[in-house]
Amino acid sequence: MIDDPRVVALAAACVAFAIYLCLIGVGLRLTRQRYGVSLLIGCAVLVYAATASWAQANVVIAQWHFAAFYGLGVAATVFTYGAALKALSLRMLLVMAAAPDRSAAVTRLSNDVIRASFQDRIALLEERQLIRRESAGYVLTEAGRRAASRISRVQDALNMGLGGLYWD
Amino acid sequence: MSLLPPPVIGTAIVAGLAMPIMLVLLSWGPQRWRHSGRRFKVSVLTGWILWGVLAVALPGIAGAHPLDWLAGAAVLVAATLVTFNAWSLPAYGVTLNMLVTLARADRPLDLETWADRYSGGRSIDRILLDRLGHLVFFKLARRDGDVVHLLPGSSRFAVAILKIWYFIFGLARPR
Repeated sequence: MIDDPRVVALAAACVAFAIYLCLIGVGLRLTRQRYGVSLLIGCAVLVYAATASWAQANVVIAQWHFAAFYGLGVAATVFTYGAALKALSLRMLLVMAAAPDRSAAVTRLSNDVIRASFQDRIALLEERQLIRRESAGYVLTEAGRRAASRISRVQDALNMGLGGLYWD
Repeated sequence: MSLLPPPVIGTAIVAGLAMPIMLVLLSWGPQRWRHSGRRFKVSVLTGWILWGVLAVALPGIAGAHPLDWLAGAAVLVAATLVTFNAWSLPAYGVTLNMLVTLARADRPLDLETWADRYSGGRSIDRILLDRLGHLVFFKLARRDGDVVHLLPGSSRFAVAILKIWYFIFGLARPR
């Protein structure tokens, strides 16, 4: 029997995190990645509330420790989900890993990862009606102009300038 | 649940909250710290140092149980990840910055011109090199002329971990 409430908290956080991973695995597949981050956060709150109330009623648990350990698991999951979904560097890593000699030409990475990702994002922006295609290229719709203006305001408020590149 | 956290966790929460506050404050700080990446590193480092200083300065923390320290560190790692997520969206988010790039253009842009403008007037290869920089920095890959090679060992481990996450998330892996 574990007596230390902090050890109980660590064990409960590990169990809750495992349940969380199973739940989001099912949820993301069922919803086909729609509402991804909302689902991740919603499931996190649900599992936290269920585990914390069960633990409160049945064992002596250090709740702050439980929140800290479980919170780390959720933060790492949300971070990794964002990276797996969008990070261009991870896409490059997987493209090279799938190649027989575990390498790729710069031109191939440029076409298969960067250009393809740009096209994916253009499709996404078109689907959300933030841009539209004209004969000369893409232009913002009214909704796109409002969204770009909001993002610009945040960037200006934080003195960021136009971002986009890490190593500039 | 006690309303007040144990001192080690409490100080970690304070230090974690200091990270986004520092990010905002440094917007008007010294010029050399204004770069988005540098600002993030300084803010995170400040949070961790603040935790260390508070732990030394406040009574009753130094002799805390190892699991108290572990919980405090968990709070700060989580704060670092959450801060990075929030910060990287406007600073490095491709879709958001594509939108802003298009808004600043005075004419319609095709994909190539859009990518050129996104990379600050350079080319789509500049974006490739920027993202490749992560793999090189973390010693997962090396560039040899026009070919990029994965480094054995570290890259295999990273790919294995990544595949597990892709499986958990139910995401299709790029090929």
